[in-house]
Amino acid sequence: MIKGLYSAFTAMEAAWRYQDVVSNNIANADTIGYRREFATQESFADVLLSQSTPVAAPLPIRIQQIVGQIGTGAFVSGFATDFQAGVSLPTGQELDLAVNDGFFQLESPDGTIFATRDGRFDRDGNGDLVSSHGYYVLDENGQHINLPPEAVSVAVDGTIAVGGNEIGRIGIVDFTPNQLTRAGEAYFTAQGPGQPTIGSPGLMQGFLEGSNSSVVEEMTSLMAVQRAYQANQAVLAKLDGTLDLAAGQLGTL
Amino acid sequence: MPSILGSSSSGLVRAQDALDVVGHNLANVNTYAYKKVRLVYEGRPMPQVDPDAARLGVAEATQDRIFSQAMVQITENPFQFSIEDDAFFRLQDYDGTTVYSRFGNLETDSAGNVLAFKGRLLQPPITIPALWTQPAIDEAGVVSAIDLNGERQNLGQLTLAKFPNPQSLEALGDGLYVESANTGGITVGSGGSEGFAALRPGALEGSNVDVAEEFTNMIVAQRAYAFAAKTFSVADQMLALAANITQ
Repeated sequence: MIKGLYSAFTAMEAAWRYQDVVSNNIANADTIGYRREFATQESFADVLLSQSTPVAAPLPIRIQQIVGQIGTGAFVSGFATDFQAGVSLPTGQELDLAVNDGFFQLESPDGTIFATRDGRFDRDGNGDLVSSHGYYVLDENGQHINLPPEAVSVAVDGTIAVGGNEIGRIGIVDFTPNQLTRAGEAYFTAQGPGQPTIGSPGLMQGFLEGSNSSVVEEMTSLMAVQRAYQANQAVLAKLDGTLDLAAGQLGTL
Repeated sequence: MPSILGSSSSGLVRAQDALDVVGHNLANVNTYAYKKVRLVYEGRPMPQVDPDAARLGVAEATQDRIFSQAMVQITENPFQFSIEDDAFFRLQDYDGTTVYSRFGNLETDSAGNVLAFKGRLLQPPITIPALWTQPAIDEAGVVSAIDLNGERQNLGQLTLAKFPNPQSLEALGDGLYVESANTGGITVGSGGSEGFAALRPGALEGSNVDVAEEFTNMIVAQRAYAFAAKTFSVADQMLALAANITQ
């Protein structure tokens, strides 16, 4: 009976975590280049807690040590990033870029390299191509890209030209999903080098790539998780009532 | 408290920002030389964060001014002009600093000074002598008037300026702009000089606000607001359940 109490509690904890992810997806449904997160589900056996955990730190582990082996009740085991492309939004701006395949590479002032699909770029005071946060956009050799004051055209393969003369090429690289770690809503840091995209990166000038989060889908998850939370709360309340009988009235018989 | 409240309230705030921008653009649909503002929701690059601590909703709503050319309206007033490329003309704000504008409506005060919008002097200033009549501006930006002998005399020339990165100009209101750190090196010229298009006398540039686009943005922001509010209310219901966990 007490084990059931902890199962219900763990499920409620998991529901909060799930809602955090879903609400973030909803809030970012219009964020340029946002990649949604989704719950990964594992089989029941996988979420059983181990008896032999030597270091008991997180709460579920401590619970587990008190009550023995139980199903955690958690219906999600973790969250992963969905790398599907978002819709391309026409903006008509010279330095709004969207790619079909691969990621832009940005260099922050402290030298961190970010991979992103947020192509809202601009010139800085020196004419270098920078992101909206002022981070340098890197070319195919990992160098900064300097643009002349005139209008530039960017081809599907990332080649930048001014009046027909090629002046550089935006570096677009591809990664396998497990190379990438989330580093902000639309940004990733990569482990190991990226590969060139297979075929054309399909770069489009005058477009931005929107979010890949669909509000209809996310609202459905939000409602479903809310009900799961409610159901587990009801179980918890019932178990509490039963315990109340055991603790308060059993002795009076 | 769970971060669901943070992320849903960020959704509310950002949608409100978007509606403010739409409202501002629509209010200026008939403002001469107004340049519309575009709002874009963006993330913020943050390396090595715990993903559970990073789900805070929309990080930033960045606003860009879109300097696309607007429709020109013919006014037949010889003392008005429109700029036909992405240049600005130079004038002085009340405190003497050089600022830039595209609203080519010139006037004169009682001392004969040629003034731009709301009584600001040109840079460099141009003065029309007393009793001279019919001030006009030509394609090169040369200001002239008819003197006491009935002959048209040139009095000075309007100077134009171009920037490598006009998007980063800072808007001061009244259709005035000033350079920021990212504007890049200024190029000064005049109407029809190298790199500059000739001015168009007798016309004024309209507003580049596209009403259909603004209404689309408004609907998107309104829906985003509704979804964020719904998320907030779900979080509230779940918190109520947690507060009464054994009932």
